[in-house]
Amino acid sequence: MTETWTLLLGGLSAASEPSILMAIMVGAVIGLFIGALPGLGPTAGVAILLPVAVSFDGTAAIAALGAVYYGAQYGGAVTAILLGIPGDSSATMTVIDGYQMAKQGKAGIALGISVAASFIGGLIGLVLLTAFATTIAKAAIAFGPIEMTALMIFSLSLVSVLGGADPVKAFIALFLGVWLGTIGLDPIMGMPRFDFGDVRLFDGIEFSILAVGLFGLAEMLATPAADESSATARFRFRELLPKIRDTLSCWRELISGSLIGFFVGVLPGAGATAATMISYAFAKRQSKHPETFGNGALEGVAAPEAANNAASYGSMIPMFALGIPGSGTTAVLMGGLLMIGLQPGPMLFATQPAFVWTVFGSFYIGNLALVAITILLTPLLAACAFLKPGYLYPIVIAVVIYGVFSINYSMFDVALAIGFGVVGYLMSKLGYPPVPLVLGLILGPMLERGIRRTLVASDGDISVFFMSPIALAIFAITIALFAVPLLMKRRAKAKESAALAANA
Amino acid sequence: MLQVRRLDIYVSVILVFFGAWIVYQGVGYGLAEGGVPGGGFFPFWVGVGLIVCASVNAYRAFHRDGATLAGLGLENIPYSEIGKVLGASALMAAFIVLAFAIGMTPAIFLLMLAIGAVFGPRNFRFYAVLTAIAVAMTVILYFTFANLLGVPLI
Repeated sequence: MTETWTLLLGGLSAASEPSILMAIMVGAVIGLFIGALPGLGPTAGVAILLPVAVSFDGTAAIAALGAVYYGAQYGGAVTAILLGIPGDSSATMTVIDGYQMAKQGKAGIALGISVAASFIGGLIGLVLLTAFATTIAKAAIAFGPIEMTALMIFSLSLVSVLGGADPVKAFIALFLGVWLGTIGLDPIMGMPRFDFGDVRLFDGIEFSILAVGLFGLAEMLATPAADESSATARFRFRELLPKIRDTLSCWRELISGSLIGFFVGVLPGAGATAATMISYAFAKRQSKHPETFGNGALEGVAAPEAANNAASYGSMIPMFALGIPGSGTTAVLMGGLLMIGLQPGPMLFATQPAFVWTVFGSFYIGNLALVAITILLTPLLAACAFLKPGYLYPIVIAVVIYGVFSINYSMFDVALAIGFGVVGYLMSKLGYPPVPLVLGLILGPMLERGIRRTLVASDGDISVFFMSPIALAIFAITIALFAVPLLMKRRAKAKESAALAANA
Repeated sequence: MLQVRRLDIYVSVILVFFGAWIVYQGVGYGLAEGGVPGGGFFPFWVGVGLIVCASVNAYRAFHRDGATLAGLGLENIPYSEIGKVLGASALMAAFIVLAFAIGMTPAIFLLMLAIGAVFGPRNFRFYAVLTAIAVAMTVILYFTFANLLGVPLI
């Protein structure tokens, strides 16, 4: 362990070179803006910067690309809070409470806690990455399709926590989301499903298109036309700074969110989005006031923001230590490593230790720099968000349309986003929660792949799901998630009946 | 005002039929082969789930009254709001058609003016500021997406 920290100190020193510091700043600012743009997430940001970054020196290239990745995680929260549009799927959970806080005039507090949570989540993720990279990589190999299936079932069961007050409508939204996830080529057999004869649907529905429609356009459509007398909010720079008091009040959610985010992020294919959903649900479950979640709870912003930043570092472990990209973004990052002549994997630590620890050092510097950069740039973004709807909505819709178009250079995607906007408006008017739909879209395909791959490998023998101790433990937690609240409710009712009988 | 109770019932009935369609398609894709789930396995159960839940919701919506719905935060929808929603959606759809005719850059400028007219007050000062914002945004978007990000705009 002492050797690890010695190597890290050397890496921090090497990462303090002017050329690498410049690469970190450029990557962080680009990542922040790209993360804030609906339709463009960290994967697109890293991919866009890749041809430019590889012309830098090798270490600077990866430092810049890494900075784009975690910068985008910071940026996604800004539009999630100010406009109710998640910049990326991992910012979806931040919308739930962050946007409510903005509507209540507490945008500054929400932004402040998101910056603090992003920093703390990133720091905890980095410390765990540094200390346990090789050890955790070995354990992550133990997660096969069976264990991933169990984890996805657990994640989908979170609809009971995330689905709001109406479980029937929550499950309808969940089923719709899972159906949307089946659109495209069947992952096992390769035949098209629900493509309506259009090849543009062969790759399925891109999450960003659904998100901007469901959260962004729908919210704008539901807003009544503003009149000249509506006052614009005023804010002071100091109100946008993270407050120690708010940060300390959420210390449990920050730590739990970071740990959940990191360990879920380590699992190849799980992703930051699943991590944010699990951490949000855990925070809500543990809260003494769960009814505040969904109505502007500070903890509802802190937990997912800590989780998504910790997850971004967790997802680097399979890439660096095993040569397995754990997410789309790390797949592109891995492409960057290969382009500069480095082969990620176990040997990288042995043959290129200076490179690896300098990159890790750059992550620490970048995580700290982003706090300052985000605080400095947030007033500019906040000023835009407080414009009257008549000025703001044309700007946002234009950015959304260009962002969605830039995914596949297709107006078909823009049409889809508009359609989802109308659907989202209808859902909000009828009380259908959008989060379960997102849950179904993202996790449904992963669950389907896990179940079908496992059953293909076992020739249809379903008992294999009950032979893995890890999977059994996850199933037990899932059952407890449903059973424990029901038992507690029953016990409370019985106590109430007994008390009434005693008083009678 | 459009009664949200009535809309809830209609949407639930549509979802029941939609679920049935998904089940039918799922059977067509193949449910299982040799004990292994086929391409239609998941859609089949998704469809069944939709049918069950949507039927329950249709039943509940039928037996609920306006006061109950208001208590759940579901208000009736003014027709003017529906008109605004359809209008804004139609404008965005018209942008798509216009973009192929005159290009994305001029089309987005016109869309911004139209959206501002839907959501904003209707006076000279507002339109003057909106026009200036639309011009600036058009330039910024072109520079950012076409030049910096290399997106091939129409």
